[in-house]
Amino acid sequence: MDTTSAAYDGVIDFDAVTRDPAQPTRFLPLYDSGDHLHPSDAGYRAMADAIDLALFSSRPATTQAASR
Amino acid sequence: MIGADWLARARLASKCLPAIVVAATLLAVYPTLAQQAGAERWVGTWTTAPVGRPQNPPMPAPPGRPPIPQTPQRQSGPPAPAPFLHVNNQTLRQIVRVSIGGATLTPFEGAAYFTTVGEGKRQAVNQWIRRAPPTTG
Repeated sequence: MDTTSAAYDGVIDFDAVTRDPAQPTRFLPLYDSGDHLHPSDAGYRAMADAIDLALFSSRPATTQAASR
Repeated sequence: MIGADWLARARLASKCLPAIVVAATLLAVYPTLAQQAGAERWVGTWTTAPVGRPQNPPMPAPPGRPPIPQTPQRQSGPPAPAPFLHVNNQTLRQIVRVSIGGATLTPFEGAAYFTTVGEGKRQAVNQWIRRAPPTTG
């Protein structure tokens, strides 16, 4: 997960989590619901697991905001 | 007598016809005239209560009397617009304590409306989300 954006306090990189490493413009087949547009249940699970809950702490300054 | 009454009504109507036409015309153009007159009045004699701290302190009311209302200041035009507030991420953070997060767009090649142009835009947006300078937020 990339949390180093300068515009945001935190970034969740769903693209990096769900793409097929062999074809980065496509979903990983396991994460593809079938329409190549929406994630499957496993895809949604992977996206949820990619969220660092520390982003929602009361002191977000420990992430990106602190570096500015 | 019914015929005479009808004739009298017809004669009266014919005499009143020009007045009726004038009245109808005035009613038809009245909204436009009123709007124009109102606009001129608004531009030329528009007044407002003083904004901010007045030049002179308000005159105290005599004991036991209601406060003296302040005279509105005469102005020649509409009030000045409020200062433009450029709200970006930093401004928003200063107004309220919030955290602003971003999430990249997931791939969609194979979908019905996939295009290479759209893919290029998706990658550009994702790159912006990952590395956008703070001044563009």
